[in-house]
Amino acid sequence: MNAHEHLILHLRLDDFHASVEQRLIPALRQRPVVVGKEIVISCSREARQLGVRVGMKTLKVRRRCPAAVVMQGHRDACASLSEAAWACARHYTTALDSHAGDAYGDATGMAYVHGSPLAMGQKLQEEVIACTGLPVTIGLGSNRLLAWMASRQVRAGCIGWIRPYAEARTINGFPLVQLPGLSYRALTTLREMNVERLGELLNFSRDQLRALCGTDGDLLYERCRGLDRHTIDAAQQVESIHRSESLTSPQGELTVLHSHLQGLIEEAMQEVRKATLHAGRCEVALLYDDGKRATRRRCLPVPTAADRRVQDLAEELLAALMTRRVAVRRLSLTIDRLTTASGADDLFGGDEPLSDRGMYHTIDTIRRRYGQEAILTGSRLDMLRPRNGAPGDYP
Amino acid sequence: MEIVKINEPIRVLAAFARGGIQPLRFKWENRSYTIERINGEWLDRADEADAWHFSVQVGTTTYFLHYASRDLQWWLDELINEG
Repeated sequence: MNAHEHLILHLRLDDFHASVEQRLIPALRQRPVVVGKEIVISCSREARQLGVRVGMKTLKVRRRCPAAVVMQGHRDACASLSEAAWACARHYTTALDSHAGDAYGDATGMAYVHGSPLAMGQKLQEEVIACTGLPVTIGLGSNRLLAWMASRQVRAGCIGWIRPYAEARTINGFPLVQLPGLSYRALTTLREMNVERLGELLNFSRDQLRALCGTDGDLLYERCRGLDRHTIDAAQQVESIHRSESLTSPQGELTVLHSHLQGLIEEAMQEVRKATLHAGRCEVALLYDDGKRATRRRCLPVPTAADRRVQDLAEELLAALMTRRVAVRRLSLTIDRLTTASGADDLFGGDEPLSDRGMYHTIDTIRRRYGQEAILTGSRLDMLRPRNGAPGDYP
Repeated sequence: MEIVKINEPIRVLAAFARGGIQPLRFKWENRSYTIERINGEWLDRADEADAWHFSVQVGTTTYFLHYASRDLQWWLDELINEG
């Protein structure tokens, strides 16, 4: 391989959350460990051998495998250990895109510094294990898809490299059922036509695949040719922030719904500010008591990090949604089209006055330290007060 | 396996050296525990002040401690008894 050829590296911390638990609690090593509160988010190899899978309900796991130890997990430990692993990987890549227990890095040209891709992978693997004590699998390929396939082809804790001459063979034989992002509907349609592997799609045109699989057609057209246009973006990509609340009793009163919506906005916007982003669009969704749903979304006039601007828009959307005389059971809010807060905003005044920014910073700090309920706005305070309670009778 | 949430302030003898913290011994409920091994450590920056967390081993029991730099206090978060 020439050192200038594209080389993407996929780093996977195997059974990430379960491995962290096994590392922190020696008594869990060699035992079936399951991490998750209601749904399994990670399980150890020993648990998988007993039939546990990610996505299963933990209740079912407890019933089926009484030997499995169900843990809630240590999120902050996971974040810290994964960050330590990514710090090692940054020595071997020019850009790194990480999410939970996976990271993709651009290692193009790094062979000049670290030797062959396999030697580089081995060095990185040893460094990550020494630094975090967690098992890691590495895949190398000419794009994200191939690097991911390479790490999937090999056993946990190994290094896989799909060399350029072996790319077509690997893609052709890759089972569709393992392809990420493919909908169940598209998979079923293709199975009905006895299409099981990626290579069997090469004879289909883009239009034919679109006609068969809808929006998944484009994905399949590119994947069967080994194309993956996702770039490695060093910046963390938060695409949307979602918050929802199931109401204890169905509500039809607009003022009560406003209060709940405000709570969701406060939580979501705190996340937006934490990621130093600005909200670009707001979506409000309702689930009515009769099971019907309604959604409205609209862009904000200017991307913002201020609660009150999002609140104004969200309340407009909620008012527009309240056309039925049916109570609402669930309220959801999605903030998306997030843009980075540029330094120019700070220089030229930006969207919010500086006093607002200071106020939101202080509120966020207090809430992070003492909980979301430490500071409440007036309308939410009214909601928490008992109906027949005297002023000052707050929980 | 028994998991017990504690959340109590404790006294810890620790070495602060080379930019790191190494807990050596702690006292809880009038009993002194000598730390045999540190299973793992991590830094939590979620709050305004940092908190250094440790998973330490004493015999067959794993203890989770943390040092809160805000109030310069050690806390015993939970213990896990091998059952």
